[in-house]
Amino acid sequence: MINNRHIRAIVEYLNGGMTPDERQAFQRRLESDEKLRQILGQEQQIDRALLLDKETIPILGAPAFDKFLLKLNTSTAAGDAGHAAQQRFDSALSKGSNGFGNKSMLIGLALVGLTAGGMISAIVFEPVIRQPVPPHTAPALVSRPTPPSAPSQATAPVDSGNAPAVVMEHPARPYSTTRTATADRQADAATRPVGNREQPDTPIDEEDVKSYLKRQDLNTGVHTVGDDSVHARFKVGTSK
Amino acid sequence: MSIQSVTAADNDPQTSVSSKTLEEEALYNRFLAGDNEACIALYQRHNQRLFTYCLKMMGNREQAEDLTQEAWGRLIELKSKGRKLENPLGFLTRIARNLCLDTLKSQRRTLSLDDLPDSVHPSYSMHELSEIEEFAVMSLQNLSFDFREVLVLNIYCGYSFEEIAVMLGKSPRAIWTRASRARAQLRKLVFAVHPNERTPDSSKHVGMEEDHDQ
Repeated sequence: MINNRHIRAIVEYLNGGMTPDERQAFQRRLESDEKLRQILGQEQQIDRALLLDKETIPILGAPAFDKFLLKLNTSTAAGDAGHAAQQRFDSALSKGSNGFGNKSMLIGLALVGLTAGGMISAIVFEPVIRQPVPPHTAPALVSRPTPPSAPSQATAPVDSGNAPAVVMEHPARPYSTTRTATADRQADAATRPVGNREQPDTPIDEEDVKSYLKRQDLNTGVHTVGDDSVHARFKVGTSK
Repeated sequence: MSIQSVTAADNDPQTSVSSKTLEEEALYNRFLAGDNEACIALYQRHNQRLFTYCLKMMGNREQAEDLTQEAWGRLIELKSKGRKLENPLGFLTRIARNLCLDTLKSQRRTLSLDDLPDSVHPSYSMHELSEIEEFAVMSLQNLSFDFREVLVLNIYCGYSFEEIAVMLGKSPRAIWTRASRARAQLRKLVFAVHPNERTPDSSKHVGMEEDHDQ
């Protein structure tokens, strides 16, 4: 009776999976067992058929290799950049584990938060900031630093119509390399005049402001100045 | 012709398989480090056998070529992901296996066996074979996928059962058992229609036409 154990023995015999002793013992058994001999013969016949069939399989030549090389080179060119980025990312992650990366991340988050806050403030307060200030209510302040070596000289006030020009003088402070940035800022604050510190050198003419506002109204389509001619032109331009 | 010429008859097959796997892992690691020559070396070692596997599992040369290329493409793509492999050959075989299975499934959905062209059947250049040997080759296609796979990898591709075990992630014992069953089933398929076939030498000039028609 042939069972799976015998089949396995035949397979091992055919595949060289036996030790020399096992092989000799199997051959002795073959001589006495006709059924086993018959099965072995059939298996050898199948092997021969499959091996002959193997010989008919075409050999993949240059075209397949060219396709492979093309894929390899394309992927390598595209992948190098991605691989480098991946390595940088991995490196950043590994730095994050020793604390330095976490601090950088916190600083980065803080900067992002400050930037976002600043943008929100600009959006909310922009209409208030852009409210035109009547020129006659705000004095034009001019601040001119003078060199420390030169004697202080009074500068003639600039004519700005109704708005009096106030000239503030303060000596140019020599910045010490030994002082800290905080001390420098405090010193600056002490010497600067209080109020609107961003004043133009030349006072603004009130007429210029009015004409500027009119032009803005025309451009934006918002009519705020009681000028009939402007309003009429605007309406003609937009009505059908 | 002896089957022993196909397989590596080393004294210690496990050691041989381990050293081959380590060698291929080293080649793959060199490829990951940017050495494309290492990938080409892997290709030259295994491409023809991978193609043979796909061809015998699919029975169609064009599909086999496409699937082989696709399997290599999947391996190459791993470089951009920086993924390491301990067994590149096993990866390739599994990819090829899955691609073959997917293609066969999609074919079953769209084609019936009657619609298949003659070129699908492995009948190319079989004039050297006797009719019973030709029937043996054709019967291989009637085995289940797992049985056919292990015989194709062993006989056609020349891998030992220990190598196949590593490739497929199975134990060598399981592969030996599967191969034994596959051989038994193939022998039954072939000789069930040729009960009088006793010896290899007497197998020639035996009519099979009546049996085919049954």
